[in-house]
Amino acid sequence: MLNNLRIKNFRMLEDLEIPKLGRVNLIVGKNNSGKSTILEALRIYAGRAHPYLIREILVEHDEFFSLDLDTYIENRESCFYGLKNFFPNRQFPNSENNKISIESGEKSLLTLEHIFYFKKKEILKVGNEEIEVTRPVYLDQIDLDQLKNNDETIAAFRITLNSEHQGLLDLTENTKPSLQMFWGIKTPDETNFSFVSTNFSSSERLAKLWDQIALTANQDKVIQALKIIEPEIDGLAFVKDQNGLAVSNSNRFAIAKLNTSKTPVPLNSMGDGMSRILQLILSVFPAKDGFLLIDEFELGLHYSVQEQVWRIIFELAKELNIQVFATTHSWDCIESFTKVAVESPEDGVLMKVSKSRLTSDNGKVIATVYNEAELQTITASDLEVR
Amino acid sequence: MSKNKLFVEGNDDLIFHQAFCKVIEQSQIEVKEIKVDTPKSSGIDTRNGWRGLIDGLPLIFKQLKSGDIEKVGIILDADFTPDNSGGVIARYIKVIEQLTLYGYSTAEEPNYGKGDIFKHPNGLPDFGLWIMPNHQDEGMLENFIEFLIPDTNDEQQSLLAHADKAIKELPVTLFNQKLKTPKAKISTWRAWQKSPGLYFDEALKDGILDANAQLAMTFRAWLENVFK
Repeated sequence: MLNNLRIKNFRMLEDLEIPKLGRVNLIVGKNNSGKSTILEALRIYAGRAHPYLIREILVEHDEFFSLDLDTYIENRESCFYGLKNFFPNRQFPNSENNKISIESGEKSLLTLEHIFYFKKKEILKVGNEEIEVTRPVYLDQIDLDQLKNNDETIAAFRITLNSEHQGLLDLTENTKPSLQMFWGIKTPDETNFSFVSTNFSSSERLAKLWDQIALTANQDKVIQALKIIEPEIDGLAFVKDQNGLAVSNSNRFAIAKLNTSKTPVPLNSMGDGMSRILQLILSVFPAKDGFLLIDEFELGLHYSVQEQVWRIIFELAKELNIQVFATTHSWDCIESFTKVAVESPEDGVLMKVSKSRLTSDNGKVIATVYNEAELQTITASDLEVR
Repeated sequence: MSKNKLFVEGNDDLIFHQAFCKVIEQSQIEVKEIKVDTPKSSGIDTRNGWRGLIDGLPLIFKQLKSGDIEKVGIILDADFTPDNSGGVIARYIKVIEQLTLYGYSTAEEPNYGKGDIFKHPNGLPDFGLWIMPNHQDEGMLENFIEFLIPDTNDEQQSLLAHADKAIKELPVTLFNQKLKTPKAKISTWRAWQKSPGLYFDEALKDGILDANAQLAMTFRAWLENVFK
């Protein structure tokens, strides 16, 4: 579990310090305040900056394709040039000091740097055999000025995880990471995580998550959670459309057994709230011993049920050793969160993300953390969230 | 939700200042909606009174920095020396200790009789402080209220004089005489109005309290400067 967090030079977060984190953290703020950016940073860290994940994030923001016309990139559509959007002002920095970094308690969790290197072939002796290997040789800014026109110089994105594992994504070539991949290696420090986005998950994705818990004790927890909205629900299954009439007939969809009905009822016909609770709860289990990241918790949930959903999230987070980070810009959501957080001392932390009013901070995004005592009394309406 | 906040010690203060702020908002186009809060109602502390208010200052500073509060004033009772850190100077020092900690420019002495507005050299909004009754003498909200009952209103003045007499002649005094006499006097006076137990907001509306009295005008000037 992270007890604090510092994010530097990532998108709009110039240097954001969160001095205290809890087991369940609610991040509030207006639109474009930077709250989702915090989730994104954690997502990249927990997902070990895997190229697929990075591509997914860039695609989500329509940032994968370069819109610059005067760059030296030839193959615009298949490179990671869009990574420049990760840096402040959407530009690769000129100075080496401006790397993106995620830290906790003075320890570096992840750094992302824009670097240049060239490939050097070396002969390595293993026993009697000689193997030719290719190593990256990194260039600092001084070398770079001399080597600018050297064709062999490659612009790249260097990823360092936990100060140990390094990976390179070439910016000039195609998506294949050519050198020093750590993503294929299982390491003990790997973190589980789930990301619940503002889009409802596809029913097939939910079906796959269901497969992992079917007929276990966790299945009962899912049913319990669905009972918050529909007390008559007694069972859930994912089935394939037999008549081939569904929009995508290769997908399974959820049906529910209701005590009041002889035939099963499609879950999707029972309102957005049911689908959202299912998406939320099914995402909890794969996050065991890791992170659960929820963008806009309140989505689809009427305020009267939010408190109960929070209670389940708090319980499961404790039971499965999960650290939860959720965002919201709803007062109802803050109110229901604080109610549950107060019942569960030391677990819940509320933070507001906004621009600092201090002149010397120059519009920097800051996080204001509300401690336990303050949580008991603060009224949601005191926080500007819209 | 208004980001202009006026913090006061308790519920009587809340009722009076809400009504007084309405008078200003209606006549001063530059002053927008002022939200009057007590430590409890705003959530900055679980206790009302001057301690709750001063202990709640760190949370107010937090919200000034994050932009959740845009303009702020606080109103404390001076109370009486030497009890319980009473007196204008003692209360003033309690506040400026905190203000200095958070980078506000402060002076050693209050701006007597006029109210204080502290500046922040690093961008935080101005911070207003008024110590009841008149930012100069010992006392409390009830003393301020007394100043707003016009001398020319013989009816009300006679009731006030009688309240004084009644307090002096009480067979037994259960309240702390030094600290609470002004409160006992005004509470007694309220009990004898056309509507017994008259609230301060109604008294203001009915003109029994004069919003244009000299002290009211000085206080009003301070309030307008804090919130305009």
